[in-house]
Amino acid sequence: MNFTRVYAIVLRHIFLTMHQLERFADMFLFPIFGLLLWGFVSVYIGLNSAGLAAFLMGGMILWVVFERVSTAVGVDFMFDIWEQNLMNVLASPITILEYIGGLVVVAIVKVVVSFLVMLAIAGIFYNFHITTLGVSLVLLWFNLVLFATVLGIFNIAIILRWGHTVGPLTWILPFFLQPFTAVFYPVDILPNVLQKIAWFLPITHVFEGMRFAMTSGKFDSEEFFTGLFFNLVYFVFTVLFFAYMFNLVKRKGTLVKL
Amino acid sequence: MPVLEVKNLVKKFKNFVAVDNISFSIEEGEILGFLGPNGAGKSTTINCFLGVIKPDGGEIKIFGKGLIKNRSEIMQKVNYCSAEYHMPWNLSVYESLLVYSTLYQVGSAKKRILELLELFDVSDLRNKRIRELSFGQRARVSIAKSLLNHPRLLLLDEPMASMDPDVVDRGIRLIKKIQKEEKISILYTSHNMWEIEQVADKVVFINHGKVIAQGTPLELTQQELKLEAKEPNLREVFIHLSRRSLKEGIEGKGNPSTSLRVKS
Repeated sequence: MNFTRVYAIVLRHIFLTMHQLERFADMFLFPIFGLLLWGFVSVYIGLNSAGLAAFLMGGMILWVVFERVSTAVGVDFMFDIWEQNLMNVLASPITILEYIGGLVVVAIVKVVVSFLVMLAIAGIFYNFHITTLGVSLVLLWFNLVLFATVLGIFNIAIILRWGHTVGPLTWILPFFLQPFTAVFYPVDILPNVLQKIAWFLPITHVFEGMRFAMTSGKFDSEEFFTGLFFNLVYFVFTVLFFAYMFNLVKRKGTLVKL
Repeated sequence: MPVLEVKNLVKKFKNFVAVDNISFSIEEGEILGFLGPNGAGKSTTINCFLGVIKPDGGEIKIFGKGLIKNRSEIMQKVNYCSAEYHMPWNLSVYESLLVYSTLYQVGSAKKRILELLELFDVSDLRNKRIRELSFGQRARVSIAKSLLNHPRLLLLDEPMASMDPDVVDRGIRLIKKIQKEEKISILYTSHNMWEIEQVADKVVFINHGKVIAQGTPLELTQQELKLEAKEPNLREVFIHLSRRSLKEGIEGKGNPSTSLRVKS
């Protein structure tokens, strides 16, 4: 792994962000408006149950972290396709691992900015401080970002294979998963069949862990390690799937037609 | 040792043979004109050299090393320019070149970029976004990009496709000048035969994925047109070879891929 080449990808997206106001919107407006909406819902619910309101706010903030990272990886990849720049990049010494590494770093930097904005808004307007979770928050973040990366890589693999016509899945896939991941409600609420699906998703364990930490003030290591286990399993399968797809498009010659 | 050595390269797409057992080499400081009609297999071959298309057979060695196992190391000293692909659309000329300088780990990147912008007469465009440039300006910036890392092997796939004759003439002179100064080996494709006559030391002509002729521009003219020509006439050679059926070529002249092989 050559970090200078990873930095080149980061630099490309820094310049792109500086020139495109809609990229700022991605980082600021989406989280701000999302949080405002759910903040008011939480305030309303908080009139009856302060705990439930906190779950909603916390769920919303962590969901944005997951959704933004996953989407950013896929969208930033598609930018190189839209700008017909991908071939120039892939013809350079960069490896596909470095290229994707660069996209993930860009996504994480952007989500850190979004997260800080959300922390400020939640603290100032709703007196909600998710940072009180301390180390638990860092570990929840780790599992969220890892699964978001897995989903981002999966997105890139299918775009490589089927072209940018399947690009909208980048935005849609996280929301396909949302009902099963128990972002805003405990898994117990789901019907039995859906609960079984939910437990196989790493981020279900993140949101369950978040609610446990908020209620008890303790870190739920069992939820963390279960989530991490599933994350690693999906990570390995996704990397293999990606490698297969990348190899396939090089063999079929469709990589240069993207 | 050849800078680029291709042996029995094969690439098939299902039942279609895009590259059919081709072999050739480029020596240090040599410019090879890589010619053929549309769909002959030129771009597929170049994409195999870049490692973005996986060959089905044969061997590609660059700087004496196998491409598949040493791609990153090799590409550090190779560069590529094609009229088909763009620089990042929304970045300025300078920003784009800075990104590519970082990708190729160019030392003193700023100095090198300004030097190339000056050389290609596009210094005044440095703050313009790529999307705001004309086709010709974009092509010049793309060629400048391809020289950022002082490549030892340069793959130019119709680099002057969108330029007017005056710019082409200046571009050719510049490429020849830089090639002489830095001893770059170049693989150059174009449908403009004048360009090839100006730059190429040697020409490889492919059709239906096969090498059907190779030699110096003058040798090809004499051989293919049966003339005692003193000047190369690649335009006529191109038309002649393109229209000759592959079958006739093979049956009538033995193995065309070796019939005009010249020592390099």
